[in-house]
Amino acid sequence: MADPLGLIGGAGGVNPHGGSAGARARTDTGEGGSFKDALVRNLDEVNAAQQEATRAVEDLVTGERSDIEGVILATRKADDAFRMLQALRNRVMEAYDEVKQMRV
Amino acid sequence: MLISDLANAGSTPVLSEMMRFAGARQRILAHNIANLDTPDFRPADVSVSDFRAALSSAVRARRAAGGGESGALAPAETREVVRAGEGMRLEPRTSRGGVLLHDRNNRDTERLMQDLAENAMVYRATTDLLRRQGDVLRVAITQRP
Amino acid sequence: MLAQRARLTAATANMAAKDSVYPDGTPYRAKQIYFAPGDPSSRTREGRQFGVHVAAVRESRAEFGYRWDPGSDFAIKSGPKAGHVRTSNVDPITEQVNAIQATRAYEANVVAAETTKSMIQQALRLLA
Repeated sequence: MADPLGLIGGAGGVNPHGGSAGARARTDTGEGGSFKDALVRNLDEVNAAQQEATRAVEDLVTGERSDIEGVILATRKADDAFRMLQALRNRVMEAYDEVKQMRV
Repeated sequence: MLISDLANAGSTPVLSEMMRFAGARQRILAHNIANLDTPDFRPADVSVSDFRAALSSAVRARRAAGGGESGALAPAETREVVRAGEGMRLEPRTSRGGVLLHDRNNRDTERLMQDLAENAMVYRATTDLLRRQGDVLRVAITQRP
Repeated sequence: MLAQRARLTAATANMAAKDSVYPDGTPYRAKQIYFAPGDPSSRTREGRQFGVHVAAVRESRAEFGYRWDPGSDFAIKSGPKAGHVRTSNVDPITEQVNAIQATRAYEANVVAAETTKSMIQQALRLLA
């Protein structure tokens, strides 16, 4: 999932099992910065949501919490966000492919 | 390494442990029900709360070690749960309480049926959640949301 | 389930044959089923530990009853019970209770079997 144009910060593609997002360099805010920033922020949120969902499921299984509704909502939120990000990423890659094929 | 990372992604380790446990316990509960009328029989069971407590500490350790999204679980060995390779074997204890009936069987039919239903529910919930975790992995791997 | 069905069969057979008599005049003795845990017919060592099976089918050694009937061909000819006919040692009430118990246990086992079956199906759905 490489990112040749450097559209998505400095960390490269989507990683649902990623640890902290601190390694990402967000210092450059060039043209299209607001979109890129939004995308990068979204990445962090999706990651956090997935971690939250994992914790919720684990707590349900071990008995630390007993509200199955909360767990279902947390997992739905995380999964929907992840799918959305994946779809977004696919669109961006398609756009890049199109641009690459343009004859100047 | 990659395969074990996949197998230990997110909530997969907890869910697989619980699923194995519930599956193994089902055998014990069904055996108790089959022997509802057998004289001198005492129903046996394992302690669910003990298992959950061991699982809980293992989960906490995993979170402390690496953030909670990766890494294997290492639950403490208990008297009742024997792990041999990939399998899990339960060593149940016979119950000592309850009413001793005329055939020297201390069954409590309602309790047995309730335990059976609860265990099946836990099994169903863990398999559903495992399937969901697998879906997340699948989206990441195939990049098809 | 098979064990309970055997028990039910024994109860109904006992009730049906209550009034029958062997050619030599001996009345019908109630058949009793004895359960034991485990399943010897299973192929695995682990499988043999679980379940239940019919360990023995024995005739009840309870006492026969006596009925005054000097005109019967089967009447006792001499002794303290002369003129009586021996009746079967089947107790209809006991058989009825056995039948009810067996049915209840059978149904409980059906529930257990269905539950286990659905659990296996759910596990298989993980593969899809």
